[in-house]
Amino acid sequence: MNGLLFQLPKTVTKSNLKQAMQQAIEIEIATIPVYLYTYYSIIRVPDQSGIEAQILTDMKATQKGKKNKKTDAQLQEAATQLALDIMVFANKAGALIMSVAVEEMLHMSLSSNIKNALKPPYGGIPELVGKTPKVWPAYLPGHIPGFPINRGKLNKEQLHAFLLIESPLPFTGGEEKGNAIEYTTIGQYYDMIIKCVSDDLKDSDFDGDAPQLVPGKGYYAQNNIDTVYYDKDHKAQFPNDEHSGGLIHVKGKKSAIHAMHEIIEQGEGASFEISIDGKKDKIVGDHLTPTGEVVCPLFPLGSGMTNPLDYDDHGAEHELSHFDKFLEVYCTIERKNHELNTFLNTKNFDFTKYFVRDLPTNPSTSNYPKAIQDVSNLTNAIYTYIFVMAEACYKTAGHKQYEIFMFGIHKSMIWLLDNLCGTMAKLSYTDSHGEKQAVAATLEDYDFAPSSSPKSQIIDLAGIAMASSSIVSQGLLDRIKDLPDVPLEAYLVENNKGIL
Amino acid sequence: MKDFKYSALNSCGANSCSKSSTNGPNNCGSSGSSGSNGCGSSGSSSSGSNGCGSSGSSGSNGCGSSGGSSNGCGGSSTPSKQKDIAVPLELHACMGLNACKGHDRFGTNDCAGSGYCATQVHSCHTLNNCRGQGGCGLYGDTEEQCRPGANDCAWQGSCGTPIPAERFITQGENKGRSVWQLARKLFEDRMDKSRRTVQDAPFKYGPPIKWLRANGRGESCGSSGDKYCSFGLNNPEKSANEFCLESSKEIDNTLGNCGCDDDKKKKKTSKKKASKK
Repeated sequence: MNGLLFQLPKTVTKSNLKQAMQQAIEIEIATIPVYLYTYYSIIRVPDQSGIEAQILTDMKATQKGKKNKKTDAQLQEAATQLALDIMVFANKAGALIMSVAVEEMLHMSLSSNIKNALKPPYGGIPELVGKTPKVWPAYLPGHIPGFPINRGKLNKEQLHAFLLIESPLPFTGGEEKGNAIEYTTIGQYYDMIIKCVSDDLKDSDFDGDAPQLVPGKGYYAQNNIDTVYYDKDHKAQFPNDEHSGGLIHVKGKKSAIHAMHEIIEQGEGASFEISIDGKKDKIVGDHLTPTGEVVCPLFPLGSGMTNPLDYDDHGAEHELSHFDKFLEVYCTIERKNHELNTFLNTKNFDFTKYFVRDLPTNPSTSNYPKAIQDVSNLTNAIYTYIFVMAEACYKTAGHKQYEIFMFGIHKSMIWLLDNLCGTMAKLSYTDSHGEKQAVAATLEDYDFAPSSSPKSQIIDLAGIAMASSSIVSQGLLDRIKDLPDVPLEAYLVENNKGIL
Repeated sequence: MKDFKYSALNSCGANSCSKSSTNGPNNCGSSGSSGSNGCGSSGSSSSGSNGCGSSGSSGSNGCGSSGGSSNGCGGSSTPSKQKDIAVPLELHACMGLNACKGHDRFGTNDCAGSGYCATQVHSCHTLNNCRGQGGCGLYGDTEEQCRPGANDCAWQGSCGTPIPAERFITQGENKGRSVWQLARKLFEDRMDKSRRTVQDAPFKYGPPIKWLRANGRGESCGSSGDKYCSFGLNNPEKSANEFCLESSKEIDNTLGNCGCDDDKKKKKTSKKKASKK
């Protein structure tokens, strides 16, 4: 001891590898509610004629009293164009954020695969339940510097936090939080694990037969209709690319390292090497200052005019990194607002109000009125049950795992949770001061009681929600009843007992 | 069924179900004996609505707030005057995928492949109750999306039914191509193996969204909005026509990407091996 009460680990070694893998899983989990919350703030398909009329009214209001005000014809043309731009951008912003959220779930699975494949004392069953941040703003476990992450609506501040999460570059500022293994970027964190696995482990330290979420079973698809958007000619665009990778069956060092490289490349981007004066160096973008401020590139990303310092310039078909996807949304907002304010001679015209719901920041179920609490509890229970089922997939393989994943997790994610989150984002209530307040799914971990199965508790919650609100339909309840019955403790999943 | 013409522009166009192209009525029996699933003839519908995730962020699944009259989406079409059959004789995923006479939604079609619309409706991935009911496209992995209307088991279907002509595959080498045309091709192959005559579908490229809407069947699904839509720049009917024609030209390649060619090659290889023995 050198006078410190304790010292934070600075690197990953064989002795803390198990902790490091669990921390990696929790880093991935921490991003999921944040990205989903922002996603549900976006109205992906606004009413084009409705917003055009509103934009025109608002633009006309900005011109009152101005000397060189725009003509009505100029304003009409600008309103029409902006409404069209919003139709494309709102859908695209939603698709890009969802395409990242999908890959965060993949990354959680890849890290869990590695942890479960690692034999004791280096690995074990991944712990997924109850790992959603409980205090908001949240902080990425171990990230130096710490920076606050909120569940908030789409805006530049929220996207700035997303960019810091996915940053390929270290930055300064912020504050230190947490008691985990320290790192400056998520990529650097995985690099530490890769070095440990590469240098210190043997293939025999892995058990490839341990249950994992593996390719070839239909568990993962890079794209779905929620990651798709349309260009201005209404041609479908697909943000994720099959070649960026999917699930990997971890059997030894090589596949474990492959999985971690996939996480890094999808998140931060495939920073590639160049040779300058015979010295190899990594190309990294210039879009974050050393203190973490965003610098928008001169040209739009993802088009033929990609910035030469982008992180993903490996060809037109290559998928943008999470960082670059968020940068594209951030910089589009910045550029478009700058363009509009220049045109209107205003300072604060913000076009995002036409397609972003004014959701609260970091809401809590307990702050909602009773009827909304009931729906929120049901939503959070289903959200938490997804992690219960995911954890169970690492206890059991074969048909039972397939049933849990396909009929439990898929159904919960793309049907039940999407339905409830989407519906909640349209609700509002009047508070005690007579003011209208927006509502959103809080995406908090629900605290299941140990006395009965989570599924039976979800059915009870659905009954309560149905009694207090018309939001929850009989059809939704029927689908909840279809879910597999997975116990709270993954070790209770027995291979010889039916769950459906 | 000439009433169901899509539009003057339509080339996802209506076939007139010409009697000359058939061998007359098929007689499959009346208990769904030729059906592709083992669900029997009741309990087909799992959900009243057909909007997979449509209550998500987009609110509605249309372009605009109420059918999109302002932007060219969701214009009306001629609804059928026929009533749904009380008890479907076969549960299948869409127009043109029925195995026998009288097996369509209205119970009045002449022959295999000529039926109007699905006899069962469900709205999303994993919500199908039976074999052969997966609508495909939109959700699911590459392999699942290669098997529209051909899933093996309940809940294994990818996405909802019916399958609009405009629905596209979202995964794999075939992404952006027609789901219905692939489903139809797989259906024709299945019928061919059973030595069955198949008649043209009422619409050559599947039921257009406009027709489905006019006949009380919304389309699936997801939050990205309606494929049949306009932002004011494009003509949705022209766009839909181009999509149908392009998918039609690529159908052999689509099948090849799904490994259907591989399956045939494997069979040929195994036959050769067998003959050597």
